[in-house]
Amino acid sequence: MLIGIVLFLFLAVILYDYNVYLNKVRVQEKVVYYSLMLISLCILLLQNANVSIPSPAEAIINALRALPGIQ
Amino acid sequence: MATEKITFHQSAYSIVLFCFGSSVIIGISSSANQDGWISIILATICIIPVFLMHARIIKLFPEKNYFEIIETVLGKKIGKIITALMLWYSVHLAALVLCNFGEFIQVFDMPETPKLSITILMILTTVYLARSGMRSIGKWSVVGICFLLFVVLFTFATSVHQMHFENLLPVMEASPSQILKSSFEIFTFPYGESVIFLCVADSFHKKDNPYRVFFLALAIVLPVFLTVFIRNLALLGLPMINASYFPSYIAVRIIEIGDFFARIESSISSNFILAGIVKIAICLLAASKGIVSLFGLQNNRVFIMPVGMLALALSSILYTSTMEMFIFLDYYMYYALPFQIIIPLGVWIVAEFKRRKKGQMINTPEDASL
Amino acid sequence: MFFKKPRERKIQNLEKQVEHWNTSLDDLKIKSSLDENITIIKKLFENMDMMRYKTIQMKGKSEKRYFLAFCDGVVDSEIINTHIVKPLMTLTPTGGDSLLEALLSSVVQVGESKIVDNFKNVVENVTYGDTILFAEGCNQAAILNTKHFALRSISEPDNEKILGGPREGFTESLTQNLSQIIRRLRTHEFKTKFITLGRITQTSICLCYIDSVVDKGVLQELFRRLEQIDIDGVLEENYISENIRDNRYSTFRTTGYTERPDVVVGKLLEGRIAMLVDGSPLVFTAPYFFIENFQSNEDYYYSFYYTSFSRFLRICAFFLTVAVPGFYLAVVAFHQEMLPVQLLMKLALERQSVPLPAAIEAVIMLLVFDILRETGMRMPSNVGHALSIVGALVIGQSAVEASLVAAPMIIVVAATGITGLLIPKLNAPIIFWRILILLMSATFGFYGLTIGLSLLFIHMSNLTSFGVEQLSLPGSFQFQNIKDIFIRAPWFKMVERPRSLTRNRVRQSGGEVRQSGGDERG
Repeated sequence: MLIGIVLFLFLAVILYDYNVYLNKVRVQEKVVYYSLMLISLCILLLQNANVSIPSPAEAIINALRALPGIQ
Repeated sequence: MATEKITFHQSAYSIVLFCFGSSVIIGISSSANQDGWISIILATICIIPVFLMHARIIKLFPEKNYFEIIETVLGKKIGKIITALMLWYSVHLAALVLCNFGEFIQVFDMPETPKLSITILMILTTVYLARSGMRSIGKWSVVGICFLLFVVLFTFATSVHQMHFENLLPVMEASPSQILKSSFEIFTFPYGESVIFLCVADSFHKKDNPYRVFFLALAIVLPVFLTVFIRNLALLGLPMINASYFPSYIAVRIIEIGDFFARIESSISSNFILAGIVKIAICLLAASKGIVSLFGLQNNRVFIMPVGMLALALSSILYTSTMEMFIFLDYYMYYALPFQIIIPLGVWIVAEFKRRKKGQMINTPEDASL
Repeated sequence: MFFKKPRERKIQNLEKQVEHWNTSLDDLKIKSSLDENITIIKKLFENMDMMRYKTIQMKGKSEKRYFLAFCDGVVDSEIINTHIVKPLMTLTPTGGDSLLEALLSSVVQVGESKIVDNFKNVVENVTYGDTILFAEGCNQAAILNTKHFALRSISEPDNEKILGGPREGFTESLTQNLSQIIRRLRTHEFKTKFITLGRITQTSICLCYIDSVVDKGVLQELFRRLEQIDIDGVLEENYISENIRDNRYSTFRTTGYTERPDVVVGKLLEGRIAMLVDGSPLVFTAPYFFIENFQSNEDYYYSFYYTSFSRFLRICAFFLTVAVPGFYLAVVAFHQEMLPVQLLMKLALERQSVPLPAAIEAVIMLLVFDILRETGMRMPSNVGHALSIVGALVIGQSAVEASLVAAPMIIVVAATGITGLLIPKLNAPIIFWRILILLMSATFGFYGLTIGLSLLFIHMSNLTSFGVEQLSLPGSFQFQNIKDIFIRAPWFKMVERPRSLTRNRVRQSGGEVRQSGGDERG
């Protein structure tokens, strides 16, 4: 059900933005817009399909622990 | 496209609400136990030079935002790398606040609702606010600050008869190193995050003195933090504060007004929503300006929605539980240090150096070349 | 016989040309030959049986023929008979460059007249009550003012009643409305510009402003937007204002409307622009602040304490009517711990016997209230008695006794409905936002209520009215900017006009009128 909510949300957002912004901007901006939306869509869908995605928080904590003086 | 300007008072109030963003609910964490108020005051004193530095950067480059300043001062290549880092920081910060908020609402208000629906609602409102521009954020701050001050004072005033001020004693029981560590934590979260304000500094009027804006903000934030801390400590006592994740909420829960009114804690969750929305909205605005600067584009309004969706995605993968969120908070001060201090310090030093060499204000990249 | 054939052909050609020209009369000029003009007019108004035509032929040395065209019902026959037809039949024109000018200056006894040369003006004016005079040999026509139509008498408008003060209201005639305004503004700075909108209706619109106070930027923007309107008919100011407003899809109005002349003059004095439409008593004003939804003209006629309190009530009413159903639902469904114990037990007892969940019950009862209100507006007055019985007894009493609806819900809905009726200008946004906040509270509790109110606030802060922000919260407390918002400051404190409307801010000198004998009292 959450996958359905996520898909519906992205569809609604892109439809709304299409009329308001997307047909007035240049190609580069459209490219950046769609690529960012695609990344977030993939992350959300995978997360709700119970695929474990490595969290940046873990990576940061591990990197900080590697430095001297921080436990 | 022309950026909207906000007035002097609106900018100060939005800085205040930004600083309150998460700490009004999470509470000002202190490993210094009941001497937390000393570390709050110490942290405020330590943030003054940082605010002076921020204000100086704004004054050197009036009506420019941080990313333009970085490119002007550090050149294109290094500038793009630093812009990308600041961009990541803003998105991460937005995701952090969203996460805090989602955990809070889910734990206390609606345990059965999936966190995703709560955060979706929040991010949509925030994107709507950010798209309306700094002008709307300014107006929201004016209303929000009145509401915030009213709620804090109201909860303090109605709970005085239940307070045990002896919870504040003994004073200076914690060792100075603990107090210093605690003040360092408070310094990075929430004060140091105001570096994001540099990213939206092109909304400040040229004639407004940035020093006065930051100091007015500080003058409002400090008493309110102290009030909140003393209220929580006096109502709950030390062991309860250490044991609970959201001490403000628990503290307000035990307030009784007169004989008939109790359990008013839902009203302070609205406090969090007001402050949290401003914090996320400013982070989103900063991130969209970063994208515009990074890729050399023009219209920054259109990127607010994808950045919001990115923050939403990030917030759903960052932590799997509330405890992980609080563990990260222990490491946050080391992680945030480069973004909050090292990068602005570098930018400021190079800017002053170049200005001395040139002998005038630097406005364009041509001026900045030696 | 020999010369008629080409003439008949010419007439047939003319008729065909007129049919072709029926869509745009601008190019159809008045001909020199009177017969051609008569043919064209009769063809244009072919099936319009209200038109009357009169040919006047003078016998004598110079055989002049004149032709009059007018529309029955909108003209004053007295003037036509006595002051146009009779002099044309008896007097001789003298002086003037052309025949028409001579007629107008020495024969025709009408005060207001003008000369035109194309059929577009002829058609516009003849349907509005003017008489058209054609003369043999002139390629122009004279338009004579003989207007006389039945108008409604001046009465107080029903929606804007006040307790004491001026009771004049606008009527459907543009000139009568303008007369009520111009009597109150005896200055040369009061400007009225006429424009025409609507392809078929050709409605006259009048834009009024006070030259020394108005913001010229807003005025130019208004003119620019009006020029772009291309609509077939304009009956009322809303036809225009929905086309030219900022934020067109918002439920909130960004332009004002009123039916009272004292309100219009008050707004003009602050630097706004008023637009009067012929045929409608509603007058459009721009720019429009959000607080004007709550302001009423009687605020300025009575004691400032009383009116400050009324204004505060109205502002609270707006927030109450929007938030109360949502607040009740959030408390009852999600946060029962907030209620004192006794109240909680009573509510629980009432709610136990009701079959529907609280949210659906709330929506149904709000719908019922709106149906009752709408019925009250539309039905004939002799059925009113039955309606109040139906409303009160059947829906209120019986539904509660049959446990279909909980009694607290009736109270909540009644409170919502009554506070909503307090501010008639905001009835559109109230309906929409009330339901939205209700649904969000029903789904998410207090969180949903706060998010709903936040969305409302963000929406309100986005509204602009011709470039001027509707909701202005600068954060700094200057008394002259907030003196008329939540309170109504006394008249001796109303020193300046609103900052966003005009640069010319000084309204009165600001010094207090000193009372005599003050020195002795010390």
